[in-house]
Amino acid sequence: MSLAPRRARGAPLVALALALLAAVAAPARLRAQAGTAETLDEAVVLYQDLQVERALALLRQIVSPSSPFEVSRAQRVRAYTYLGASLAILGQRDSALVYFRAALERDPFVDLDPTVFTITERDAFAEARRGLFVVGLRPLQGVRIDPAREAFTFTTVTTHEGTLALTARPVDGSAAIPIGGGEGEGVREVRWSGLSTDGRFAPPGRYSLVAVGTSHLSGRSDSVVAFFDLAHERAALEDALPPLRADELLPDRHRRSAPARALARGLGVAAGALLLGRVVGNPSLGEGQRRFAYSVAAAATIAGIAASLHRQRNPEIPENIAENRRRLEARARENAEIAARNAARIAETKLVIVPAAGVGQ
Amino acid sequence: MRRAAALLLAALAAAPAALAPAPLAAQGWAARLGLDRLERLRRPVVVWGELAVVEHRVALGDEVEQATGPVPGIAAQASLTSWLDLRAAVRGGTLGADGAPAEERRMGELALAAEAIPLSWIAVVGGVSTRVYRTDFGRQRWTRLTIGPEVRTPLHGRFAGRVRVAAAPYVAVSDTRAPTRALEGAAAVTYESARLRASLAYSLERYDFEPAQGSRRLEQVSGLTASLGWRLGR
Repeated sequence: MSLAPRRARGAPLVALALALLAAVAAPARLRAQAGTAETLDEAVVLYQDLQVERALALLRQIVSPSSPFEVSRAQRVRAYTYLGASLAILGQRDSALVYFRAALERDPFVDLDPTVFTITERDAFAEARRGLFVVGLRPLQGVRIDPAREAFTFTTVTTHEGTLALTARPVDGSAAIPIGGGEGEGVREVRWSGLSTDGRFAPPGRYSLVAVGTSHLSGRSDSVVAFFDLAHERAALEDALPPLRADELLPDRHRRSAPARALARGLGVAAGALLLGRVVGNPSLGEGQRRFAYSVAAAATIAGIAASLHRQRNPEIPENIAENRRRLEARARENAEIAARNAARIAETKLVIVPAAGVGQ
Repeated sequence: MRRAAALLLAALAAAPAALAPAPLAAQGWAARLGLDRLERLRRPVVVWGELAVVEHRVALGDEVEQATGPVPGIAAQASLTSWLDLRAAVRGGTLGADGAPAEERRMGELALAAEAIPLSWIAVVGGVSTRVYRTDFGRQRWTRLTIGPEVRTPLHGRFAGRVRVAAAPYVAVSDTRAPTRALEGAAAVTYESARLRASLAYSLERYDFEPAQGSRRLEQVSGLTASLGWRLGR
C-alpha cells in the first residue's frame, strides 16, 4: 500500500481537528483580550476616582508576566502610562519614571492629556521623555496621491529635542531619497511628493522608510524602519521610435562610378544615334542622313561629358540630402510628439504607497 | 521656297512664346486662347512647336531621288495616368528637290501616339499616322501603324537621352503595294524642366517594297527635329 492514499484518508481528520482547535482557541483569545480591556478600563475608572492603590493593583496585574490574559501592545502602553501616573500621584517619582519610560519605549507617540493628568504626573512624564530618546514612526497606511497637488505624509516623533532625518531607501540598493526631517521634538509630520533627488518620480518598488534621530541632550541616536511598496498608476508609455537605419535613408552622395556612368550614358545615346542608320537604315540609301545622326550624337556626348564632370565636382545628391533631412526631421518630430504624450501621461501619474512587511524583492 | 521656310521658322520661334501663358496671361491672350483653362488641368499637358529638317530619299532601280526641306509642326502630349501618355502631332512643309530627277513635294502628316511607361527607363511607344506627299504629278497617302520600345536614360540634370526602334506592322500606301519591310528609329536628347521642354531628335524611317518589273523601290525618311514646348497644368 502506498503512502499517498493513507495521507489522503488522514487529511479530513487533521482538517477537522484544526477547525475544532480554531473554534475553541479563538473565543478564548477574544475572551482574554476582553478581560484585559475590562480590567484596564476598571483601573482607569479607579484612577479617575482617586482610588489609586486599587488602580495600581489592577494595572500591575495587567503588566505582570503571570497575567492570565493576553495583553496587546497598546493595552500594555496604556497600563504603563497609568502606572506611571498613579505612582507619580503617590510620590514614587522614580518608579513612575520607570513605567513612563516603559510606555515611551513601546510607543514614543504616548503623551499625557492635560485635561486628564495633573501637573505632577506630566512633570514626571516630561522627565521620563528627557531621559529617554526614542524615535517613532506612525504605521503607514495605503495612500494614493496625485503628486501634482498632494503629498504623502509620514508622522514621526522624538521623545525629546533632537535631529531627525527621514529617508526612503530602495531595497534594491539604489540611491536613497532624503525625505525630510530637521530639528525639534515631539510629533512632526514630514511630507513627500514622491519625487526622487533628480526631480523625477521615485521609481516604483519596495522601499524602507528609515527615521534616524539624534538626541540633543544625550547625543544618543535611535532609528525606526518601516517598509512600503511604491507604485505608479498611469497609462502605459509609448516607446520612442528608433533612429533611422542606413537603409531607411537615401544615399547622399553619388557612387564613385557615377561620373563614368554618366559619360557612358551620354555615349550610349550617341552610339544609338550613330547606329540607328545601320539598324534601321537601308545601305542602298546611305543608311540615313549622317549629319542628322552626328548632331544628336554630338549633343548626347556633350551632355554625357558635362554630366560626368558635374558628377566629379558635385558628388552630393542635393535632393537626397534634402529628403534625408526631411525624414530625419519627421522622425525627430514624431519622437518629440511621443515624448510630449509620455510627458503628459507622466504628469498624470498617481503614486500609491502600500505598507509592506519586511524586505522583499 | 526660301521665303516660305523663313516664315515658317519665324512662326515656329514665336509659337512657344504664344503658348507661354504666364507673361501673356496679363494681356488676356491666354484667356482668349483658352489656355488659362489648360493651366488648371489636373494632369499636365505639354504643347510644343517643332521644326524638322526632313530628307526624303526614294530609290527606284538605280535612280535615287532626294528631297530635303524644313517641316514645322506643333504637338501636344497629355499624361493620362502616371504611366500612360498620349501625343498628337501635326506637321507639314515642302521638301525641295536636291537634284534631278527629284521633284519638289509637299508633305503633311498627322500622328497620334501612346507611350506606356512601365519602368522609368523604358517605354513602349505605339502610334498611328497618316502622311501625304503631294507633287505636281499626283498625291500619295501613307497610313502607318508603328510599335516599339524606347529606352530612356538621364544624362545630366534635366537632360535625358532616348533611343527608340520600332516596327511598322501595318503600312498602307495609296496607289501602290505596301512595303515588305517597314522600320523606324529615333535618338533624341531632351531637356525638361517644370515648365519648359526642348529636344533635339534624329529619326529615320525605312520602307522596302517588293521588286516589281525588275526594279525595286526603296524609301527612306530622315529627320532632325528641334522642338521647344511648354508644360501646362499642374
